[in-house]
Amino acid sequence: MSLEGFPDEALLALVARGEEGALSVLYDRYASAMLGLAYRMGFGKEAQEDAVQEIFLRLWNKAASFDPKKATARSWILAVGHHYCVDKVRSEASRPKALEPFQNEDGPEEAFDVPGEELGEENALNRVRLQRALKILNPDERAIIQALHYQGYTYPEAAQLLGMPLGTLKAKLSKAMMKLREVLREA
Amino acid sequence: MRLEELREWLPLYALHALPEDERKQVEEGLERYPELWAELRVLQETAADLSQLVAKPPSPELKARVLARARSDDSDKSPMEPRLFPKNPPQPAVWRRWVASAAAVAVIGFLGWCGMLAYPWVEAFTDPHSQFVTLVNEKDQAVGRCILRKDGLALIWVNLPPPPPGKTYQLWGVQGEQHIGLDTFRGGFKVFRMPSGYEVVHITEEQAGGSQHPTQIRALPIQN
Repeated sequence: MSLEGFPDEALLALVARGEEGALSVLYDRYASAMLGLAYRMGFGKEAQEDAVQEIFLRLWNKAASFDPKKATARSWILAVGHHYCVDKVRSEASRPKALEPFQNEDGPEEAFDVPGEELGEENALNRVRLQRALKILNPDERAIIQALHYQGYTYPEAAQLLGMPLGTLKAKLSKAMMKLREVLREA
Repeated sequence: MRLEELREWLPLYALHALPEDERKQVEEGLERYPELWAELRVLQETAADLSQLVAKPPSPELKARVLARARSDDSDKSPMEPRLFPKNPPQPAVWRRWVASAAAVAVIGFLGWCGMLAYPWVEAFTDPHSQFVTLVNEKDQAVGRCILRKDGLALIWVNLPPPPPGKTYQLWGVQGEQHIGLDTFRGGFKVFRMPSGYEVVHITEEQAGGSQHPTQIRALPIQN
């Protein structure tokens, strides 16, 4: 039976019982995002591929702990990947320098433009959708998302880095997440 | 940690931006206020979108390395997460494969059905016309949460002890001095319809079957 049409939730259940074919399908769906995230967070080429291996090993070993009541499979899988990358940059004595996607005054698109002709139409459309969503954030909000999500700083570290009181950072982050959610839902 | 304080931390939790001790506090708080899981799910979806912002095609040989690594590695399995099935189970008989396939289809169908039920409420979180109300008891402790959609349908969750024998909890729609008796329930989750013109919900403890007039108030909307 082909697993290609199975939803992520079902594939995770199969991974939890040791079905390598299900892990293979999840790899096809998420490896490019994991590699892009590691790239985006400043990992070198070898470290990017190491990260993908470690992330899928974590998925292989932890799939049984996925609880569909608490998260969708997509967000859980990507959270496993993001947590790995964040843990990795926090453990480094000197952090890898993440890309600076927001320094371009024309907007974030160009800085996020990663060569990827092989990614297919759906992924390309998703990128455009996300890039448009990021444009609605003001510079402070983008800097917060950059520091927390893409550079892996904890919020006290980010507040110090950005020269913001903790409460201000929390409030701006909440607003930024709400804006992103609204725009992504409309797109 | 109070519910509202916990709510402020959820975006940081979703982005993995909390120090470890505060992360544990949030996880403990989520056990106490499970009604916040729905809000966290929405934030986690946005965090997932951010993680998918950049995609980069992997080299062709990477997949083989990943699968080989998984095949050879069973050592990281946490004792708290026991594997329910062996890694390489014996080949099942044909009839068992059919039964397993049918069961998988049933499970997927059930998950889809659950998703269809839950989706309108997830959608309500991002609708600016939806109202969100925290309910408190007589000690001003948060005991519940209510989402009221613009179409009048409401989802309530309350963490009250089971009503005494012969008693029940009753929902009330309130508008100024007017009360209108609504459904009875035994706590936990309840979906109900708020009558047109009513936007405030109260919960009382009444005789089994409900009452015409509210008697013992158990939860009210928080006063801002």
